Amino acid sequence: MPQVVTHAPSFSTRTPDILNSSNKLSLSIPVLNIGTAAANNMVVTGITLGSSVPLNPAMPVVLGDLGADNAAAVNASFSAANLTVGNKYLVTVRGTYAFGNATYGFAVNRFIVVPAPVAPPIPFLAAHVLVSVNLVASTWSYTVFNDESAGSHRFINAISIDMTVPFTVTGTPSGWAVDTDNFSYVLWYAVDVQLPYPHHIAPGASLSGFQIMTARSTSESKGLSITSWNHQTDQADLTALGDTLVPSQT
Amino acid sequence: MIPLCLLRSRIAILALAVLSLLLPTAARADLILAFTPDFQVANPGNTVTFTGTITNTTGVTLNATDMFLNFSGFDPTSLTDFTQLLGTPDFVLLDHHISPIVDLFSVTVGPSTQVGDYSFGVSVLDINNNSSDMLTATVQVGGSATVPEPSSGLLFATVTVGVILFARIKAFGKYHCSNRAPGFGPSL
Repeated sequence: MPQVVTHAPSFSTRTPDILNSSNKLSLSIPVLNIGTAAANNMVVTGITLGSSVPLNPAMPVVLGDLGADNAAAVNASFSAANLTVGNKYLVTVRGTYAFGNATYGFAVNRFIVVPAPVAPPIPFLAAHVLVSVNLVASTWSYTVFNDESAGSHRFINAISIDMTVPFTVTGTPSGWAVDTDNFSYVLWYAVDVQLPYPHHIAPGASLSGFQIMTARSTSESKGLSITSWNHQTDQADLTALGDTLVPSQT
Repeated sequence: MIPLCLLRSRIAILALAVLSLLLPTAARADLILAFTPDFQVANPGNTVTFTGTITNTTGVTLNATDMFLNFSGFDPTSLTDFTQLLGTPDFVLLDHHISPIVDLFSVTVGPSTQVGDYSFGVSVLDINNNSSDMLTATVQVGGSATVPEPSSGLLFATVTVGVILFARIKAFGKYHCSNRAPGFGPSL
């Protein structure tokens, strides 16, 4: 008979919040520490939904310390292309945590039912960021893509990325400026003040040259936001939220 | 005067109470997870499958896809890719019934894992948040199968005798009393 494990962190999950919209299945998955001790430095290293293609977040995601009887939420989205509404799929969250002087692994599972697709409850800007990490040079370089359709009037005018460690900004594209505290955030914005805003990123276009440097040699996923300016109404327009890799605390 | 079948039912309930006191706390959870066996022998790079049974005493019927396995306490470099197999295929587990022996999960041994025993904790949770106790299972890397320790063997024998006893009492009671609805797996 197997022995019962006591006096240690152990994990569970609950039914996730699920949204099927814009060909994307978004999940907010609770991770609970149902053990009798705190789990330190929890890191999510992978989230799977059957064989569906993951869209975000970039891995790993640092959850931090999780005390006994406490919970944290992990957000993830997958392509809904190969998912059938009404069918059950297994969600698995895998990761690591520290307890005592050692690092252990965990994995929690949940079957979910794919709901019918709905219209987006909030419209978002179509945009994304790609990151290139050079661990030799200790640089993180970002390229911003405006994924709006060709006829859109939404041009990207700023990008803000959450950070967790000290860093310096080593790259800013021409026509853009940067605002940062060199620790918790970096905000790049186009300096144009009137139409035609020549340095905004047009629909279908991309812009690289956003770069930071730090002594860290590992990455983790953090949030970002991309804002747009409507060149027809000459007003602020939709925002995109996402995540990307940044220098890690660990 | 107490009917014979009622008397036998009371004996069965008394026997169940005595047995539950003899068993560890794991046996009193709403879900009872049991491995057959609780260890697997593997070499680096192998993927092994753990099998076992789940006893449903939650008060409601469950599908296999209503139950979720959770793992913790393992060396993440030596044991990877814990994959739940329970629920594929799906089956119905009536209340107060024991599932047949089914594939529960698989785990892969890392390619550079050293010879030794690698243990981890496993529990099962259902869709209504009823949980089993956390049990320990082990992958013996580069080793050979060992005989279960005496206490485990003794406990297994106790459970086996108990199950047989219940089956006999139930069969007798079924003959003399009203029939129960048939279920998947043996009922308790």
